[in-house]
Amino acid sequence: MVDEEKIKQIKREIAKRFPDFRDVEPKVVKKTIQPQRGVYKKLALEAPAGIKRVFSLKFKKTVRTVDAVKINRILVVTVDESGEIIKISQSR
Amino acid sequence: MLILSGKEALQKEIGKLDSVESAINDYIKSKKNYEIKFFYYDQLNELKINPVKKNCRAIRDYIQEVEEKWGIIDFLLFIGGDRVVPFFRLPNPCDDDDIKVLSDNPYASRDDDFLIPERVCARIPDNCASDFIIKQLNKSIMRTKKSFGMSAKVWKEAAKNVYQQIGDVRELKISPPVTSDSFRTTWLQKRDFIYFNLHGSDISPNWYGQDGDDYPIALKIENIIDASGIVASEACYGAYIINKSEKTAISLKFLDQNGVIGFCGSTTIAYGPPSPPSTEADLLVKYFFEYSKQGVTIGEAFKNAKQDFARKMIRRHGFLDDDDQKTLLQFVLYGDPLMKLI
Repeated sequence: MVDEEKIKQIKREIAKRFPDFRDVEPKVVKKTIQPQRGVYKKLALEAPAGIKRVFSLKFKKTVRTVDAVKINRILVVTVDESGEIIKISQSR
Repeated sequence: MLILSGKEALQKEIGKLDSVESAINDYIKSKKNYEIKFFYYDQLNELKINPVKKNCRAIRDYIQEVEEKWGIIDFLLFIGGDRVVPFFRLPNPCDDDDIKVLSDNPYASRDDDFLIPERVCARIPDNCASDFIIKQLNKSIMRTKKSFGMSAKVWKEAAKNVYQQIGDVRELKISPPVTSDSFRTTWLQKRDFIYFNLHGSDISPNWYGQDGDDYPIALKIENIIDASGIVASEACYGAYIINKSEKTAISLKFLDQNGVIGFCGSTTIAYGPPSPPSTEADLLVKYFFEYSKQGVTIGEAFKNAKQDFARKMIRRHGFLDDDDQKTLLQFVLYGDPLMKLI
């Protein structure tokens, strides 16, 4: 289970790895992922396992480019039920 | 292959249709290895399918009906932009600022699970000019074994992981220090592949690099002169073309080049990893390059890339998360899908 302490730990890690997101408070969302049977079938993969639960921590901020264009910067950390980071993504 | 457009809508965009229709007929004659039909969805055709209005769901049903009467359609090519053959506006799987995801995926899918394409789907945007469309139908390319790539500094390592499929990573341009001011137009000339891992915006025509809080202009429209090759960009809104032209969208500027045979990009906010391994946009583009390099058509490369991308992410995590789903929906292919490197 991802508790408050784990979230704090992830925030510290993100601040260290991505200093530009240091002062950004993430939105934490618990997600329940239903088996994606249709996708599995189309890809001829074996039947999916049961429901999966992950947490996503979304860090979002707005920056300005050199020509004053506003761009939303998003960093998403996906964490599994045990609190392990399984993916980090950034908006392009 | 089915080439599809809307007569009334296309006419509104480019005026007289004679020259485009003639170019399409010549194109069909030149592709002797393919069985190709050209229909307007709003006109009665030889299969006696009732015309439909300019509505994405109606057009999709129309395509399904063509397939039922004619046989399996492996390739779909739309002639026209969003005002001619509308993109689907799909719910955004991600919690970001895109209200909807502009997508051609439902056209590429036979069932209602739109994530995985079953047929090739590409479009030739009209850019409000018949000459622009005709140009896309008459392109060719010879392999040069040279590529170009450019990445924001913050994603240098991630970009190398993609670029290694097509070129020497030591030649990958990094922004900063490289910016549009130091960009040499010759970098884009006589290439097989052109790759960008930069920031993009729906309101700016420029793509941007990044180093910390510094976001310099990495590429602007004026940098693109006599470019050639297959172009793929991970930039947010890299393929966003609504109310844009070759003067305001890098994607259309690339397509306006005689030597650029296809453009693969995102219609909305795209995602990628900060570092290897490749995920999301990085992984999709990597597979697109891999297949294109093998000499398959860019349409097949694009379709296969989406399928392989989904397979890989499922094998890695057991599911497609929000970002993966958005990646599958948002990436589109512009250009003639039958083009390939020879």
